[in-house]
Amino acid sequence: MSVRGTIAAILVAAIAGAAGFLTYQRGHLRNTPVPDLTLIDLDGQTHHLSEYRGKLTLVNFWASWCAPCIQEIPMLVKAQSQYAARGFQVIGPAMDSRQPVLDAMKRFGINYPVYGSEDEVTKAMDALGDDGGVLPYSVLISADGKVLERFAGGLSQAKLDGLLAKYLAP
Amino acid sequence: MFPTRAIVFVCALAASAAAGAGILDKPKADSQFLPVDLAFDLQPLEARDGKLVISWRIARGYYLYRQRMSFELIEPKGASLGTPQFPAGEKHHDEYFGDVEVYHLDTLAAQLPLKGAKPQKAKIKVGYQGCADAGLCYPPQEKVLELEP
Repeated sequence: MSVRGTIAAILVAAIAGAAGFLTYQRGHLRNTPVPDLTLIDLDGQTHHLSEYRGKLTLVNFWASWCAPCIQEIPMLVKAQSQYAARGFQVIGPAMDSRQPVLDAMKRFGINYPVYGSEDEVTKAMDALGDDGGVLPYSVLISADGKVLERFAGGLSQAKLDGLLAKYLAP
Repeated sequence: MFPTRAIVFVCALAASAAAGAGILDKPKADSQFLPVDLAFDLQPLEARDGKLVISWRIARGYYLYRQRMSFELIEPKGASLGTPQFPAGEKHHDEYFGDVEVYHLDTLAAQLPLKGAKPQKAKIKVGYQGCADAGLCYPPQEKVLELEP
């Protein structure tokens, strides 16, 4: 391999490494500050994730067509009731159209804020590391706005209890 | 035949990218799931016995919902689709979703009779949605397939 070829090879390897490192950074969001994501409520009003600063916030992305999402809703409703006074907040951005979301909210008595607008929800999922767009996808955010944990797939009661015991102030 | 130096270079490049991506040290935490197009690998449109055939290769541990499949004929104009024919799936009753039928098959093929034209050239929009047994789902997918003569 000539000198020119060697330099080209090093440059290509460096670019590949840098690209890989960026991928790694996206995959490891723990303890990184959360961007101030835009959230659109079901009446079309704009909100921001920063409204929940000061609370341990579980962002639970879901959809009405997603069975594992539906299965965990009663658990989240119960946790919201049980731990709100201690500074715990669930929010539920939905990758769905408005009416099925309203129907599910009514059916399950969802007692935490739910947001719609598939475009904004997609952006939020991507920003919080759900590149594959899978649901349910949950991100636990500290009171000072940093990612604590991320989960693709349904949360079990034991897992949620463990998280609350670990991160929620007594 | 590849020269040795070229092989070494390719290996170094792959190792560099893998190390940068954290593949070599990434803990097995989340993201242990396939991209949607690998979980449900939609195959090229085919014609068999006068019918259009749409098939998926489904990865092990993943499944598609029968009720969430849709087919819309775009071309040929003036033709229409008959009732899609599917193999028997696994039937479940879900408290929320009602009766559902899912497919865990390695390969799932749907046959669509084409009315008013011969299935030589066709364009069709296919919708489908599936999940993983591990307890997560993928958003509904929509793709356009074309059959060339």
